[in-house]
Amino acid sequence: MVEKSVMEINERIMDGSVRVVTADKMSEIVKELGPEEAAREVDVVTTGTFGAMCSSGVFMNFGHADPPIKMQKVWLNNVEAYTGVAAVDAYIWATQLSEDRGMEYGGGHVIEDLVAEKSVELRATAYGTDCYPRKEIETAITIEDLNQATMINPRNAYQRYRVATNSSDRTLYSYMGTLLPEYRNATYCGAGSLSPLFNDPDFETIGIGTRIFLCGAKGYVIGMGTQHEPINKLGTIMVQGNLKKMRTEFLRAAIFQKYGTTLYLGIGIPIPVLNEGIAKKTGISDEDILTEVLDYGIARRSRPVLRKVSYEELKSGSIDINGKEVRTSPLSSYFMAKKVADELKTWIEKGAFMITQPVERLPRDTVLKPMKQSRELPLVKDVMISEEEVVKINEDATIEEAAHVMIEGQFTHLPIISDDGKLVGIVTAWDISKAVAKKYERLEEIMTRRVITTDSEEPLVLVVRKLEKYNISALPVIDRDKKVKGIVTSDRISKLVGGRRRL
Amino acid sequence: MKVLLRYSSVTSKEPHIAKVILETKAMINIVRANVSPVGGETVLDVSDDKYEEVVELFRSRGVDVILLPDPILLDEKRCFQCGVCISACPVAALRLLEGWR
Repeated sequence: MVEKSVMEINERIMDGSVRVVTADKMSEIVKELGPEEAAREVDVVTTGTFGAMCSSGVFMNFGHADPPIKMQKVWLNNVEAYTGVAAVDAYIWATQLSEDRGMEYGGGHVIEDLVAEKSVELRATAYGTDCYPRKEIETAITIEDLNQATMINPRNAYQRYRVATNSSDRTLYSYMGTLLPEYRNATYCGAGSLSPLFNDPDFETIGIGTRIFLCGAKGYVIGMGTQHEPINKLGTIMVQGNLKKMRTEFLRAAIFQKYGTTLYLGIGIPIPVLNEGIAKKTGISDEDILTEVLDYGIARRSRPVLRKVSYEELKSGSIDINGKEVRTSPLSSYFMAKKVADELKTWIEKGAFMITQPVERLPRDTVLKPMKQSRELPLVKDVMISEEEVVKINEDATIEEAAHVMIEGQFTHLPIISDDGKLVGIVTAWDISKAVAKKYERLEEIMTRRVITTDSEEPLVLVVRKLEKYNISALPVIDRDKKVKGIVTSDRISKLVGGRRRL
Repeated sequence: MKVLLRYSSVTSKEPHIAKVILETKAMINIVRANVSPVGGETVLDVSDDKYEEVVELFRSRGVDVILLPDPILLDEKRCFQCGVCISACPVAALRLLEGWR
């Protein structure tokens, strides 16, 4: 039986006799010596992660202007920050986009620029009051000029994350990176055996008040993170730290192509090895940590789970999905995660970082509920032109025949089917005019073969997104056998919005 | 100018490049190709004078065309060795070195 207290460990930190190892080394030690002996040999295990943490931001206080202003709207380098906190306070989020540069620059970049001690343009507007008469201000500030710059992140350091892949025939741009079509890659996140929360999955030592490594400075856990779901091994923490002490090495803005901006953070948490139970848990290795592979090709909340996979397999560079070898790569930097754990280890060994006993434990029973949606969601079947009404045309038809069918039925889009009734293409009134201009004769010369389609149970909001994304105005509705079940057009959707205002 | 063509399982069955060359008489060099019945990609070098016409024609045939005006650059100053570029690279040109760099 080994029992140690946080106080005893701190005494060892003070006298320099503390024994600290990083979490990846601890896996080897526990394997070799067993948990009891490992608990005797090791006092602190340092963990680390370095990943995109969108739910991050900074509270700042600018000090009062003369004449004073009660800022109603605030921008930093043209990225809007949230006000409504008080007169000269604002909160800037990592994912907020610049108003003039769009996805090239966002809140994460503002935060990085502040840490890099660069000058940032502050602009604010106000309505003016008797005590705060000023209505606008423009000035240039650096982090030095701020009274406080406190990073407060509502959801960081996810215990593990689901793997993303894409079954669809189109490239997807997501917060999990670029996902190539037809399972041509898979991306994952999290440091595996170095992951802070996976080394203390029951939150025995990590709780409110735990001192941590946050972006190269000391920070603190201030509570459970939003969406904290420890029962499914999806715990998260809320953290805070002083931005003025942070280093750009461990705080980096990033852009996910065609998705948006974010902030990569380095977080390290020391786990005091108080007993052999904790030693055993910190001995976790990549092969023990499982996660699910999700198909992001399905744009719904419940994405299909394709399989379970361990971090060991993910780190090997490829995994098997339905018999296909799929290349994997991480979104989070294992290289930097290791650096975080190493640096935290050095701090503790030098006596520069003391271990804490949490003030209170984090909840272990919260679950992530879906959003309550009080209004029903209209589906394709609610507005589509039905199977009986929709007019199709055979692929062997001539352009002239297609033109006649369109005129008779007042349609601008004709689904083209093969002899066995399967959708093979679509032709529009526009294609017909092109055919006349270029003197084509056969339908197959002008038809679009790569048809964007929908199914009758798809929510209309997803249809609207497809229409916008591909700049088209109708989608054939098909079933699993590619049989045409109807067609949904932008006209029909406009009528629904106009008539019922429910979209 | 280089372009990347991306085919789906439907478009991969058509001889697009041959048809485009016949129609435009553009000088096209196939730099890289990886096409199977389920889809695939090719990288083409297209002569500058016919570039726009060729791109337009591929698009009208339902092929995804991604323009590659600049070679992809790795900015060492901004890179923090995450590795996300590796699996997203369609030509598998990137890999992690020892120590997860």
